Amino acid sequence: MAIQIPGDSKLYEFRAKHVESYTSSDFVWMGEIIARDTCGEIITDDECYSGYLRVLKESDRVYGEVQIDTNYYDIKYLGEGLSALVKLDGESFLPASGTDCLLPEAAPSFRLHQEVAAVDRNAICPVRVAVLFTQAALDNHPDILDIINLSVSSANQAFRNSFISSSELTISLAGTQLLTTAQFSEGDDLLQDVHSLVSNTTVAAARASMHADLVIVMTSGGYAEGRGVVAAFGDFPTASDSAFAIVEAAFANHPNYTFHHELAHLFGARHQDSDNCWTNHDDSGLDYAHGYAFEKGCACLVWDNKKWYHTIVSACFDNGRRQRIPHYSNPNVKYKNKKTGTETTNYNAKVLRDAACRVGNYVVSDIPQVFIQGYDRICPGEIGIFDAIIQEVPGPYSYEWYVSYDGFTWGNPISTASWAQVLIPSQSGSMVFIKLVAGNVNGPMIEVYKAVEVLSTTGEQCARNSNIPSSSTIAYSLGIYPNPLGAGELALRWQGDNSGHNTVSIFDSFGRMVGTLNRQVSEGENTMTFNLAYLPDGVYWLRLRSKTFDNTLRFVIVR
Amino acid sequence: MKTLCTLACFLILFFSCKKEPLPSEPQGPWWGDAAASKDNIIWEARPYAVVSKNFPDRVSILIDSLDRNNFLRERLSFYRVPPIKGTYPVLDAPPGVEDSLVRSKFFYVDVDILYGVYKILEADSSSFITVTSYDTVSKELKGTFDVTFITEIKPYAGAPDTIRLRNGSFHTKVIK
Repeated sequence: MAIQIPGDSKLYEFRAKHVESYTSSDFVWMGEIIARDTCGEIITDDECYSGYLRVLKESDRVYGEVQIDTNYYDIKYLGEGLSALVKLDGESFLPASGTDCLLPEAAPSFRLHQEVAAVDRNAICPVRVAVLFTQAALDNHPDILDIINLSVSSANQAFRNSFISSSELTISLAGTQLLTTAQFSEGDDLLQDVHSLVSNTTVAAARASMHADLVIVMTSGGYAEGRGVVAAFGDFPTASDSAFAIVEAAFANHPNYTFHHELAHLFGARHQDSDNCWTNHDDSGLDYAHGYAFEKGCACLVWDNKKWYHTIVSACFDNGRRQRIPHYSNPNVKYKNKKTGTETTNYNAKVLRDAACRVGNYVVSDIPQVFIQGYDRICPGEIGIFDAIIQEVPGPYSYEWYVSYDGFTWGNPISTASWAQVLIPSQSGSMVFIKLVAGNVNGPMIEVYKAVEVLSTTGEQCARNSNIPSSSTIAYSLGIYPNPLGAGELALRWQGDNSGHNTVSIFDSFGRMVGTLNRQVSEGENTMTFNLAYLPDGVYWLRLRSKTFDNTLRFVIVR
Repeated sequence: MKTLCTLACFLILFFSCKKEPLPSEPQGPWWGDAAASKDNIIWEARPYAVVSKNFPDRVSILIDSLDRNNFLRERLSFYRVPPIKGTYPVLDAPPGVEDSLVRSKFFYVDVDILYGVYKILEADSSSFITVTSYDTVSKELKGTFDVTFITEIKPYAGAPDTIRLRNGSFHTKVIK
């Protein structure tokens, strides 16, 4: 898709990287923007990527946000099918005071996804977020619902940027609600206000009716000291009862990302550690749970102008040189060729992944939930297998699977079974989008999406597989039987091309490891049997790993 | 000569990479100063005051204890204080209660993470705030306070059950 920015002679090309939907009438595209000159050549910066685009469409209502090179824009809906691109004046986002991170100028070019090894975690613990808003927020931001929708989709994109897959953590908007002045209004103290949310009966009722795990209240209080706060840290014993945050609507999304920041605190993400901006004093939380800050380029000779990038969960004092990037800290993801975290200390992404199921179970929902389970990144030319997971609603179920290779064009259903096979194209870096429409045959159908990235053949994961000699691949042909498994034992048989240490792990449909076995194996045929009588009926995944082999098979237990 | 130039370049590079200095003054809404004896230890903080949103003739005084990086760690809040000379008894500020009485809270906070709350010990009726002067032109406000709090949400296992702030004083400005 081509994009033209008024006053900019460059040609921009949009590539969808992620799609999602909140209702049957809306659609969200998120992706990256590549700049080309008038001859159509890619304008190269160090990564060729110039920015991102997030567009939400509900019928004729189109809104979103765009970053191109060093400029930020909002797409504002004006009414009657008309939307405008509004360039953000950075100054207008700077409060008179505050301790939070501010954007000094604008972000540099930016790439959404980094090429890193694929993972096969299959945790599915959606987190439902209720976003309430005050009368003042509505008065000052008539487009408050757009801001809320953008916040949710943008936070999900930040997860993806940080190599947190959609299977591992996805937040969904449980609902929105206006809080009247009588029900809740901004006072003089942000801390007192967030404290009051915990015992607010209207908020509690909204949380219960929306089956929301977390509640975020959008305000427009003009608090002197900050833009957001949480009522409790994510791993406090009281976190479930205090899973509330306040976010000033004006700072929710780019370039401040306050919504994303407070959200992460509710999972247990801590502020950054160990730079000259910030030293954590709290003793709570996990050691690796910190955000991260790192210098832009070489600071030598210009030390007094030294600039920093801060991941989302950072706290910093400076409003001239410290810029937030839409990433949670993760040592396996780079931004502008620098790591965005460290393994031992600055790894927010791990906290978010690990806390997803805990937070997702704060409030049990009886609302039908439909998920697509499968890999988020696949090597080119492979066949991807995706499973439908339906929770909270009894069967019988109906399924329709669709595939799109550009995020816009969808053909006829490719499957009506509970699973689908999708041919992954051979073009590295491209995306495959999968849509599932499923639910009880007599009830409402739920539409969900999954984006799958095609890895580079030279990337670590694909290169590793391709380095395995073809004979080895054949020799390792893996079989499990019977499948479905009834009352007996599950048998695993494979041909090993050499002796060595092998690990077999079994995961349930939530990605939890429910069994593992390490064994020295010999060259030739190997067999193992597992007594899985302790496992309930359901879908499981068996993974066999050795020094040169890594494969996962799906099996079902039905007794 | 070449060696000298190389050495000079090296020294310039080396000293140019010195650590970024920490700011000496906090960036924030604070104006003036405040102090008290907190459980017999000197407690110094940064105050500011705002006009109460729902009581335009009252002010809320927020007194913040910052860490060495100027991040918020503790807050003593007085809500709806008349900016008129006088001594006012201080009561607890239950969430959601917005009346014309002067109320107070004490918070433990990690910048934007609330993790401890103390409420006024109302049983002994000893908590008060005194406004000693208010300049309606400069908006400068001075006063003293004595308050006793008890745990509402304990911030950490070893935290005290009671916080006593004695001989407190503040000099600040109503910033908005």
